[in-house]
Amino acid sequence: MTILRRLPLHPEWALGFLSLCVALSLPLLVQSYWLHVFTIGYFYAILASSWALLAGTAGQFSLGHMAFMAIGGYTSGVLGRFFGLPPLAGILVGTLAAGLVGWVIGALCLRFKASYLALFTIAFSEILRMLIRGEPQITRGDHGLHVAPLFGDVISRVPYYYTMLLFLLLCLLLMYWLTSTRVGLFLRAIREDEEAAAARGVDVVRYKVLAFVLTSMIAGLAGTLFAHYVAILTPNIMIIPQMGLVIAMAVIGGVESLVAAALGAVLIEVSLEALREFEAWRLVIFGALLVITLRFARNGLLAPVFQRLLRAGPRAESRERVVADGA
Amino acid sequence: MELEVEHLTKRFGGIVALNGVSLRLSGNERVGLIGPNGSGKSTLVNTIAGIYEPDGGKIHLNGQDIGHLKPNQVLGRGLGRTFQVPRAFRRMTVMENLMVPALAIRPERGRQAWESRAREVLDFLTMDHLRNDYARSLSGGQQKLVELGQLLMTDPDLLLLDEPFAGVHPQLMETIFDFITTLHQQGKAFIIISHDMTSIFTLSERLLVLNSGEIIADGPPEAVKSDEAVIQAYLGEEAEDA
Repeated sequence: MTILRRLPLHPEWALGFLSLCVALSLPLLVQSYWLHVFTIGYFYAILASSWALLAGTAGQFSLGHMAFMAIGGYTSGVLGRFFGLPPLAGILVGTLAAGLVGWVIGALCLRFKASYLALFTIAFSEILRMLIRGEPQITRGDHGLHVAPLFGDVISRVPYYYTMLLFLLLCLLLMYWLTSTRVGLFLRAIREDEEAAAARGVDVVRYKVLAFVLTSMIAGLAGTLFAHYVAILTPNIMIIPQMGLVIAMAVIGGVESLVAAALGAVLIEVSLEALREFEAWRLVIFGALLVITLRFARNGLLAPVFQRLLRAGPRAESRERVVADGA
Repeated sequence: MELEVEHLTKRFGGIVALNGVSLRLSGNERVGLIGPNGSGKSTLVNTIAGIYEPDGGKIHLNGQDIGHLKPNQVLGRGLGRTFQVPRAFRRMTVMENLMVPALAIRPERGRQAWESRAREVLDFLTMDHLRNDYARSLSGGQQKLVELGQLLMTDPDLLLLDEPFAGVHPQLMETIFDFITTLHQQGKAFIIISHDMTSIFTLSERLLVLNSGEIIADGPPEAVKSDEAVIQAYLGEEAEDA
């Protein structure tokens, strides 16, 4: 860790670089099954980190993230099924469709307080799930919509693994870039106090909608990648426990750090698989872990560990004080 | 600077918080706004600053109607305000707190130029050594200074200060006094709400007294101090002490 401190990099980036090296060499180290687990882990990492941007940075608590993921996946899948849209075009259209729906919902309910967003998005998510189940001639309902694989007849999981990893990195880079601009500053100000942010010149609704649309698009993108990887979509992917899992991943990792939320997602997905022999008890373990995190480490378990190991000057020290105070 | 408020009305359900309030400010006037608790002082400031939508009446700043603008637009027109309880962004550093209004109102000036300006402002407020500290680690008085610093970054013509001296250490109170005096000399206008009679009588050239959502007195502090209606509604013994 001393070496990391000497690197001319932000500590989070240094850790990210190390993680990347491990991730790139993983196909050489693990069996195909575990490669699949990690690929799904990266899918959840895209979802958890984008949810962390919305909730942890902008302070907007949405329960509809999995619905936007499903919009992306189903849009691409349905257009491929009925119009023969190729997967790459489907990924683009699915991502845009999620963003468009995100914009409509954001414009409708982001003028109100945060609790309305949570209520509205959970209702929206359930209505969408019912709609998908209720229109089997289009979505094939509970039978599952078959989606064309991204790499056609290729059986190996390696290309899918690298594709999911690539998109995870691109999403993280995009979100990091956004948080480093003035938009990121405004989103954090909105999270702290919407009324005060408005009094300090921030167009609160505009930036809330912007964050909501962007994170909806990222969720939609994750959905399209997932659909073209597993090649089948069912409405079960957007049930409330799935949304809870994404939130738990972000919270346990650290909801105010995009990298911590992403790593939290991968670690939890891998751990859930590793502990599969414990059956339902593994869920009890993670439930307890979530409760402990919320009670004793409100900035997650990973984010404070990064900060403690890699002190990054007065700002990090001050941040630690805040975390220690239970911010 | 010209602020013109005409017959301003604000209701919350059946309660009339402001009942046809009219006032006019020009130049770099330093106006004190006093009145008993619940008289409508903060509501008046919140309505002028765009936090509340008025139910009736007009608000003009430098000839422009600002009555239905959002708070960020009002700040952009040159009217800034502080809050009764300081509302600095607690999990952001002091420097970041100052950068928010600067980049929101005039992003074209660029981050580096604004950071230099923020250092000057913090120096003026004797807070430069705290620039990397999180706002929540500061005292209440220091957080009030951060709010004043945020206002300075946008260089408003009119500053609405809601209880700037409440709960502030005497040394910081002096800094806030100097802040107001210096900016007044630079041509800024002020509306200052305060229950601290000594400070408000010292600072104000003109006093407005609100009671039950209506202005019951408007004039020089000495005249207001001896106004029968004001003594009855608010000052009482305090006038003799001040």
